[in-house]
Amino acid sequence: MKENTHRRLAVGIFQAQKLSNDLGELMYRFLTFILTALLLSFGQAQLSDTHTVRIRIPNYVGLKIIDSAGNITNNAGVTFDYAANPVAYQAAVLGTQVLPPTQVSSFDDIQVVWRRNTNWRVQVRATTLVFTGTGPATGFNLADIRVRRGVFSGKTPGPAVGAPTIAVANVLATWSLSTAWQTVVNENGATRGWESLGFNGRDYEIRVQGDETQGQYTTVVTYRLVSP
Amino acid sequence: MKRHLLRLAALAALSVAGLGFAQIDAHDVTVRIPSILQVRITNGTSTAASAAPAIEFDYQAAANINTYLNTVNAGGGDLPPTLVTDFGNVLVFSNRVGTWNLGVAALGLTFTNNLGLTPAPTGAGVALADLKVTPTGTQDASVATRSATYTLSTTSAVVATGTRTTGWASVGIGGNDYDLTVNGNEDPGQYVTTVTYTISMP
Repeated sequence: MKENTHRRLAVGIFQAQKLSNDLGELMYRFLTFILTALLLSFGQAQLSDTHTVRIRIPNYVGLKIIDSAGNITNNAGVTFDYAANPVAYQAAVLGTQVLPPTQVSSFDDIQVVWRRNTNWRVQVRATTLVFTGTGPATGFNLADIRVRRGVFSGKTPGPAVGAPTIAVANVLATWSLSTAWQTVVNENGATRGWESLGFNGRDYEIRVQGDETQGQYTTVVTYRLVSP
Repeated sequence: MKRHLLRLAALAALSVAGLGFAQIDAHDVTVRIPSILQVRITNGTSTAASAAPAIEFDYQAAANINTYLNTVNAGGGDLPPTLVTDFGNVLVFSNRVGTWNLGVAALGLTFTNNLGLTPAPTGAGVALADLKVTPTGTQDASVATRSATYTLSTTSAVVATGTRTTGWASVGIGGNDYDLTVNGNEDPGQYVTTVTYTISMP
């Protein structure tokens, strides 16, 4: 009986040790699995990658007179040659007293680009008339040369594509030439690239009353883009 | 005769006993295959991850200003990068069963008045959505789908999906596939973002 009890006790201890060993083995395997998983996890952890993007937008302002091909020209000109057409001159003197150009060269548009949301202006002035002819140059002044925006060219301010950002109200409808700078466009904000000011050489005209001294009158007209 | 039979029986018994004493041994072979799911940006010629891949649209550079102006003057359009550094391709590696997704997201643009303009522009007119990607690179057979075109956003969007690859697989997205859409209303200055490609399995 006693021996039997010892035998049962021994078996019980043995089974407990076996259970303990099994649990240890399980624990060992579990920990090994976790460590392995962690190691494997660390070994393949590049789930994302990055790159940078840098954008640089230029700050640029400009004003240009272009020809019909869109090229910047250095020889834009407006000519009122009524020496070769006295009939038209006489008719104007007796009628509207206004004459259009007889020739416009390389002045199909005048455009600006302004890259900032600030105020900018286009100003114009002309040099004093240079007279070539006989006698005193009277009867014709710079103020007799004027521009009526878009009236003859049909141009409107703003880009050809998209909503215009140069408001029509901010461009003078009419101005006469002067030796002093005068503002013809007063605008706020960036343009959408190069934008038309809405006139060209065909919108120039001269006013005549018939008291002009015969001869040739020449001036150089300059447009400039300024920021107050 | 009977004696011979007894000897034979004894020999047979010894033989069997001998066999019982033969040394038999065994060993285990354990093979553990890692689970791999990775993405990396490379220079396009090797599978090594690029250290600092970058894309630059530098239209302040004198050589590039006219390109910008002519584009916006034509009513707007897409401009290519002026410089791509170590960004020739996006590679993925998966040995898992199932479909992986490749997502892309970007940080919000950081604006800098790098031209020192006064008053300082605010960085209006340029958005993440103005950065457009049109992948043109070779697409590995394991890449099941790839967006024809996508724009960047702070919200991650899946741009490619696929299955188990055989090593590194090309998704075919490179830095030169990026475009910047402009229309002329962009404030002058510098804009920077970081774009992240992430691979995942649902």
